[in-house]
Amino acid sequence: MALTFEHLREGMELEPLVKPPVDRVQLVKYAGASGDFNPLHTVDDFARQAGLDGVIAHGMLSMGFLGQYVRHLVDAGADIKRMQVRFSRMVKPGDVLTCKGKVIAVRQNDRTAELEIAAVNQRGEVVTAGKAEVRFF
Amino acid sequence: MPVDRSLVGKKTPVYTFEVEKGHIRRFVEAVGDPSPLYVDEEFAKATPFRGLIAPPTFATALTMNMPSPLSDVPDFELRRVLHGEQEYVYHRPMRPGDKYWIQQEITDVYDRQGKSGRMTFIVVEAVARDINDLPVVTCRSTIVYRQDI
Repeated sequence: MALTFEHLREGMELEPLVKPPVDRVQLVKYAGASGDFNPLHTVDDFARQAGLDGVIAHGMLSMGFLGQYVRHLVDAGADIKRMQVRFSRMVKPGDVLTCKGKVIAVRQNDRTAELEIAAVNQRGEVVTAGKAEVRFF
Repeated sequence: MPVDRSLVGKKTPVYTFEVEKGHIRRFVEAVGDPSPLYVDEEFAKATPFRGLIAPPTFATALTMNMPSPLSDVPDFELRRVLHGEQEYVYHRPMRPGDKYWIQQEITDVYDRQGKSGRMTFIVVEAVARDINDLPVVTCRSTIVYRQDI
């Protein structure tokens, strides 16, 4: 059930969204679709040269999950006006990310809500977190 | 030109980008986003958006594999690069069939000391404008350049 503006309350925790494990094929598909061909995300040898154990997911893929989450929360009932995140931990193939959210501000005058959003891995560590602003129709 | 504050103000030429329905479909498939708003025309028409839109982080495609203000910086090594932060401000929805005029600019560069030594933070701002010269999306990327790895 999508959120409606009338039901939003400051401090309200939003239902999480669990994503399937990140996999290597997904990273190749994401590289192609986003145009981010940095081999750090697709070529293990290159990732090792960069001091990692192997490929890591595009930070933007985790932000993509959060974009999916925000749209899932509001469905077609609101316009997404802003998203901002910080990438704080790497995501590796096999990691399971859960998107979580909380309402931090509700503005009646322009029917806009500010959400705190975070992608958390299977160890409970925040990998990507920030804010989103949604304006309800 | 080293990777330092001398890069501030460096711009790309204005380039164009056309939003294609198939590109949006491949993008949401890669992310695993099932929202019909991005792919199902009939569904999207019946919503307040009155047609298909692109998902919010599709905006990454407006700058990736495109002219970059960092692409011709001598000795700039991709292996040193991490993505630190990303912000998008959406002035209006991105829609298939749209054409944008985009320019990217390095707006800030600053150093921080990190676990792996000196890290240079590079802020790149891109603004996509439509045919009426109205802004559609403003993208702000903070790139972390690891100087000492």
